[in-house]
Amino acid sequence: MHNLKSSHSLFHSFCIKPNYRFETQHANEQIILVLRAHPITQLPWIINSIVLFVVLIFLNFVFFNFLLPAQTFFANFFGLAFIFAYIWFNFLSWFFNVGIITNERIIDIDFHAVIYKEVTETQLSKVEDVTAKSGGFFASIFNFGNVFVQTAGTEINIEFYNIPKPAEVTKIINSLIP
Amino acid sequence: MDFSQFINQFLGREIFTLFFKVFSVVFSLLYLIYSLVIYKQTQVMTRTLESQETTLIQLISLIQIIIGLALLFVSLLIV
Repeated sequence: MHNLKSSHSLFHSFCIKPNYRFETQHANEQIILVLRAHPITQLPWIINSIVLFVVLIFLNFVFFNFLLPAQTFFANFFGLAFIFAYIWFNFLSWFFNVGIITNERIIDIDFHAVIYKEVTETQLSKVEDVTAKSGGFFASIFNFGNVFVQTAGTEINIEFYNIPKPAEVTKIINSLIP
Repeated sequence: MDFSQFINQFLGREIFTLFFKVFSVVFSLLYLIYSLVIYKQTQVMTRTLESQETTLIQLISLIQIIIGLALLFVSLLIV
């Protein structure tokens, strides 16, 4: 895997040898791959944000004659702050829900609803089977899918959802398994 | 009868202004608490995964707290 060149494709959702560090990283451990959900899977909240913004503009026309200027100002300020909070929350959820593949381990970092943290990891030597699944109209067009890493014994299995290039990820993991 | 006439008839202008004030203060406080939680959680997240964008991400979360404070200020003193 030393022939892989450092790159950040698809809005940093498929980063090869990125300049990242994680909390439990060992001294000589090298990050090979960092994975996030494909950007196209983030489209619903992006569309919702645009719709909320349009609704806010529309409400201005409806309540313009009714509210006092100070109330209109506050309502707009609060509306924009709400949309900003919604965007920021979803961005953080996307940015920090990552799968990390190093030369020693596979790590899955999940922040459910931003406030619940879950870190799952397994040694590469304990990986038994790697499966890539991709199905559906958008998944086929944009080449994203799920990767399931099955581990030996009672070790917890690792699952990466909606990641780009699942076949390539499987290939990289398989080449790293000793 | 339009919306403003409807509200004026049933509630009265003063009562509506009072309601608006109370709701704006309550929602501003909730926003401020939420932004503080997000800021603390951002620190946990950036500690878990350090990248070049760490400073920028913490700065944006800090801006959200400032927005929360500004909302509270506006709701208490201007509305």
